[in-house]
Amino acid sequence: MNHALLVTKNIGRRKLRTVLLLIAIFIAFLLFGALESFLQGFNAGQNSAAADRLVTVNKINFTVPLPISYVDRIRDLPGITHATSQSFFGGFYQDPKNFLLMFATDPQAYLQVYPKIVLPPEQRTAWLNDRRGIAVGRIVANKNHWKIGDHIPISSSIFSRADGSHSWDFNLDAIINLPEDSQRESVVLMHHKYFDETVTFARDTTSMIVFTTASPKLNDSIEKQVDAMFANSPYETSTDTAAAFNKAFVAQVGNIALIVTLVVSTAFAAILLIVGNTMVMAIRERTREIGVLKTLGFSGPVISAQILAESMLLALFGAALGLGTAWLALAATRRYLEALIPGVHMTGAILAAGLGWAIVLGLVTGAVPAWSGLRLRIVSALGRR
Amino acid sequence: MSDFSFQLRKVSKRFVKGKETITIFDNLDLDIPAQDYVAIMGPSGSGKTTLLNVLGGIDQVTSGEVLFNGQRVDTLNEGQLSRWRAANVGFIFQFYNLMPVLTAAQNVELPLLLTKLGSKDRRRHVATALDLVGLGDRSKHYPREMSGGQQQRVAIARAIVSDPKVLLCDEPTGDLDRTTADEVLEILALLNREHSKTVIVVTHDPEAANHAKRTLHLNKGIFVERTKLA
Repeated sequence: MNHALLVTKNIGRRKLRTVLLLIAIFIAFLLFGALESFLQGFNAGQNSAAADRLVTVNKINFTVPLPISYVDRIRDLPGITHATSQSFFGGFYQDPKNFLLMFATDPQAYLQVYPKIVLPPEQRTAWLNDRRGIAVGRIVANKNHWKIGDHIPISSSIFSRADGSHSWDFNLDAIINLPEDSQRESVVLMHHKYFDETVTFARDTTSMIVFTTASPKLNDSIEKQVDAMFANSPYETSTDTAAAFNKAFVAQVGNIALIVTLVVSTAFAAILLIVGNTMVMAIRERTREIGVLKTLGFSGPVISAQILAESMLLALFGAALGLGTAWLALAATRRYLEALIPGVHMTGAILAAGLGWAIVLGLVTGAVPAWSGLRLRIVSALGRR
Repeated sequence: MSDFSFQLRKVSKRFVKGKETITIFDNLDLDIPAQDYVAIMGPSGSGKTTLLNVLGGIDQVTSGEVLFNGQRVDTLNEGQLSRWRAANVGFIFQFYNLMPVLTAAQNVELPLLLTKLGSKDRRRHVATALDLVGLGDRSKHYPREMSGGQQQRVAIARAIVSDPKVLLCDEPTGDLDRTTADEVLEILALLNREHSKTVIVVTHDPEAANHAKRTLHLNKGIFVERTKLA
């Protein structure tokens, strides 16, 4: 036997209570793991946005288009290296529920604005030269079981064709592999020219213009320059960094970070009270035994360390179960989740934060009973006075 | 080194309860030689358990000196007292006070967790202690699976496993039938006689007192009678 066995024996003395406690901790950390992973997904756009990349949209909001001619006017400004249009297509495959993050763009310019996208030469050539070609992110291709050379019908929930249909035929020419940028791996890109010649409205317009600057230091002045250039026109603009744009985009859904913080905090506060209260009761039940241990020569600090070890073990075990289950659930559903929220997965940082919170939970819930154990007088514990 | 296990010099113990000060004993002197077997008797509230607590270092005196082998123990702090108890004193309680989640062997092993003995040596010591109390074959049994007498014998094994010089017993037969009580008292006598333990027993049981070498009667905080048995 050793001190560790004594700790585990004490944890297991009331099995139902221990199981209920573990379930409570499990739920808290399941929520923590899952919600933090979703938050990570929502923030993926901000995290992967290059510092020198800016986005211009209509000043009213990004659903109101801008003239496509703005692309060239922006590109011609000093300090701007590349610029491309990006028109939201509102595409879906087979079922409107199978939503695609699809844009019409100028392929050549797009690859210049996103230089980290490196396509195999034959795929790149095929896409650039095929007006009906699409480049598809790896996540989308995997989800829909698409492969190079496939002919894919994609419908739009926004646009219609001159013949009244909502369906376009595409050739899958390229697959985007960029593991560090899950957003890029979740997009479908079509030629703007094909878009422009087939849609019944919104021709010669774009939803947004994405461009790069020679240096992030120029961002502030270029933002002002661009917006000043189109001020007092029918299509005034609002320019921001890509990171800020993504953040504002996510904020339209709601303050995700605040929601996550509130849900997790509430769960943790409830668990803290439950576990703390139960630990206090569990130790109070063992007052006499603690008195006996002290009589045998176990010092106050040793008793306190054992009590803290009990609460830590419970917290860490429950947290490991919760985080592990969240990880498994996210991994199992990642294919579907990433199509909706690119980048949703449990990172090492989330896992480490979860375990950190488990240690805090263990320390806080064990603190009061450990202190009681430390201060407990043997004579009082044995009920001798 | 002194020939005395314990020496009490003008020891007083008082409690303040509200506005009232209750004196348990006052200016008590007591010598308990090494290897003595002493029974302390007296009516309820006479202070005999408090005296045992003071001897075991689990209660503080109000004034006076408590010496063990010539060294003062009443001035030790909590940590020093813990170490002193672990090294020198074994406790036996009326209600055994075994850990219900541990087997007999694990209960006996508890005091050895505070020593530097390895697990193999600890198991050897535990087996020896359980054999001495006649429970070598019950080492894997939990307290709930044993009778009161067997539990008390496990408690005795726990008290002696680290080879302390003194055994302090608080009503060790108080919860046992006569036959079982006699078996327990025989073990205590054996430990005193053949293993040189100083045994101090607080009891209401005249039979328990008969096994002791001498009996001290404590009443209202003073020894009113000292009987030396043959």
